[in-house]
Amino acid sequence: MASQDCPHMGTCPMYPVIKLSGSLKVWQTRYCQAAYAECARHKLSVAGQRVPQTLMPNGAYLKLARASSAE
Amino acid sequence: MHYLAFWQSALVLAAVPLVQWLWLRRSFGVSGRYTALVDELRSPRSAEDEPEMNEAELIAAMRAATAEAFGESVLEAPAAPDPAAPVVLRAADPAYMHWLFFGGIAAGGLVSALARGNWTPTFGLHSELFARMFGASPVLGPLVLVGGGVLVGFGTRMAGGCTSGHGLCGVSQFQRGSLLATLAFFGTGVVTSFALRGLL
Repeated sequence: MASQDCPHMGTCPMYPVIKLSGSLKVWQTRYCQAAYAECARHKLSVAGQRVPQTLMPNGAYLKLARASSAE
Repeated sequence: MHYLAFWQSALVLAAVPLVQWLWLRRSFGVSGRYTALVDELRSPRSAEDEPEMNEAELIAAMRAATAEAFGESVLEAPAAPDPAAPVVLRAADPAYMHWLFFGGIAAGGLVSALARGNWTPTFGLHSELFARMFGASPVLGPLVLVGGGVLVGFGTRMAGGCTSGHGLCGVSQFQRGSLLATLAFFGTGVVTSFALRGLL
């Protein structure tokens, strides 16, 4: 069977976080090991653009809870 | 030329991703550093763009993003950070860290060359094959090396990593993509080397 793995798995800083946490594995099965061509991080990377660290594969950005709780 | 025994090199190379991961919690990649440096020079990022998160904040934010995208049902019951994932998403390194990194590589190479005692500056590679192919021209040699560098840059960008990112870090994590990439670039290098030696 042809590999469906994202070729950037070894170097993507978000992948180890997703891989090691059971609750987050859905990202791995949906994107990293399947539709990686649809991953927003992968798209930016192959387009030669900067990949924000907080960008999720579906194009959403992580929201830092600290900022809202401090106010 | 004298080379280290294979096991000595292997120990040093194995230590690189290990130290990088245990100390910095990051993959090690020269091309990734270079890309980050170019990006940083092109458009410097601010702290608001790349907030620093500790482990608990990161896991909480990722769980929230996961629930938003796929629903609460995909989340495992405990809301506490997974103890098996002591990973911290750090703010991006400032540009000087990248310069320090590349300066370290150059300085390391220089120290190594000087320690051998017979180093002399050259416009090409210290290689018989290179000299036979391109002579000692102060123009052609550097041009070939720059051309080779451009091709390497193109390939690493396309493959998402280079010999350090894929070959050291990716392979040490048993990533299939990294194994394939490493097989491809080392295999191609060996075949090309034998082909050139056969032809010249």
